[in-house]
Amino acid sequence: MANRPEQLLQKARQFDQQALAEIYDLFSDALYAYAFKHVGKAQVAEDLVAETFQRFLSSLERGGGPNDHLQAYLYRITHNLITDLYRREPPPSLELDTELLIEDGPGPAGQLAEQQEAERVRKALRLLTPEQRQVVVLKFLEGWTTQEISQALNKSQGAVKALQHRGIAALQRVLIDDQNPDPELENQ
Amino acid sequence: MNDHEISPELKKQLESLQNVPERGLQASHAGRENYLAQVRTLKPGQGTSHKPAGKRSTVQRRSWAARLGTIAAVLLVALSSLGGTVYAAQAAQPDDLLYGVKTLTEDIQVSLESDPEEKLDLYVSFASRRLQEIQNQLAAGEEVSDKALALLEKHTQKMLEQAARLEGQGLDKALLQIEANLQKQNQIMAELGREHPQGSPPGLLKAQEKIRERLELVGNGLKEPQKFKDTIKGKSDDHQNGNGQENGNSHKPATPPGQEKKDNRDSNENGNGYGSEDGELIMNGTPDTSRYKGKD
Repeated sequence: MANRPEQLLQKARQFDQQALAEIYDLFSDALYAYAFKHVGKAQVAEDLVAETFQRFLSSLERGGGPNDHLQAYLYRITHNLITDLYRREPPPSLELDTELLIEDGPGPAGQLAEQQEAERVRKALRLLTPEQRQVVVLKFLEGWTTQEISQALNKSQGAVKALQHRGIAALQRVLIDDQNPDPELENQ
Repeated sequence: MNDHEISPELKKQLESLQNVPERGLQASHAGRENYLAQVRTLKPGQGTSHKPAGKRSTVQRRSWAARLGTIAAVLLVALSSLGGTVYAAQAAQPDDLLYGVKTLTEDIQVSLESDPEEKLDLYVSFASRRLQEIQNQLAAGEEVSDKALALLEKHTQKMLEQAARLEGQGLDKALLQIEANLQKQNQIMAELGREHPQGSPPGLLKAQEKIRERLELVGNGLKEPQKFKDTIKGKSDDHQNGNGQENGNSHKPATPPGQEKKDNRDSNENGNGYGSEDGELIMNGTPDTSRYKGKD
């Protein structure tokens, strides 16, 4: 028996308005959180969610769109939009940019430190390839299984594991190793 | 690779992204409304293998309507291409610059809808928006907007007209929807009245009276649907014949020859959102809601 998202998808493909509304209610918050984790700005995240659903509707209207794995399909659209957004912007530097960090004015020191760390991680994620980034975020921030990720990316589980391995290794190097150089290596 | 292969330091850093601020209620609501508006304007079956949803096929009966729909769709797409502007407009308040964009997109949504029930849902939704805007202004201690009040009046009249086109359970459901909306309107007007402890201005009292009349009309409609339909139709016909005195607006100038509404049911749906169905609040395109103001 099909699960709820797949049932909704079948109805949505018949342009059932109630099903289309339920799909939005089911996924929009999660997609917003996914987008926000990448871009760190509420309005941009809202725009990405809106664009995701607009593309979903356009696909349905043209007779396209997914036949199954609706969640994976929607995340894939959002991810592609984020990638497009990144491409339009200059490559990030891991140097702290305080203007970027304080969207709503300065808060308590601890909150500012958290924002700074989050922004630094966002910038590091941008240094990954789009697929590495998608795998790392889906796996470690969204809690998806390797099988679910493989469906979202249309890749084998082995390929997903390889992307995950390379993505994590790159982040480890950029965020941890380069920031804490081994004193022994430094002295050599 | 599994979860254990990520170092604790890196895992901790990644988790800093888990701190997502709560989604803004207004923005998320606007996003949802926008999406639902797009859902309503879906034109399935164009070059696809899917069958269109049955009741939409009536749109294509009239070629002028199809052309109008196409123009409106193009306009909608053009507005949509403004991206953030249109989305931002959905959260605009009556005194904001983008409020006109918001009401324009609403007019377009209505013009693209042919099903009376769907149209009624749109008007109820728009009336609820106006009520929310009015409440926001009240909460902020601001003067209540003429525009929001005028549009609320327009949406309410349209709700009644759309309901009168329905039959059976559809009509019952519509009347219950309208009743709930009118009760909310009553509540807001009472709040407005409390802002005038020395006595509500005459316009406000009249608006409250009108809401009560409509509540009675709707309540009776639930018992005698045909009588409700006849009453609404009678008022609509009166208005079409230039006898738009239902609201006691006896000083309203007569409609110039050649400018009468051709079809009262669908008039002004492509306008700027400030047209009036009954001449109560708007004269010569200008909202006349000074009666609601005058905080003395």
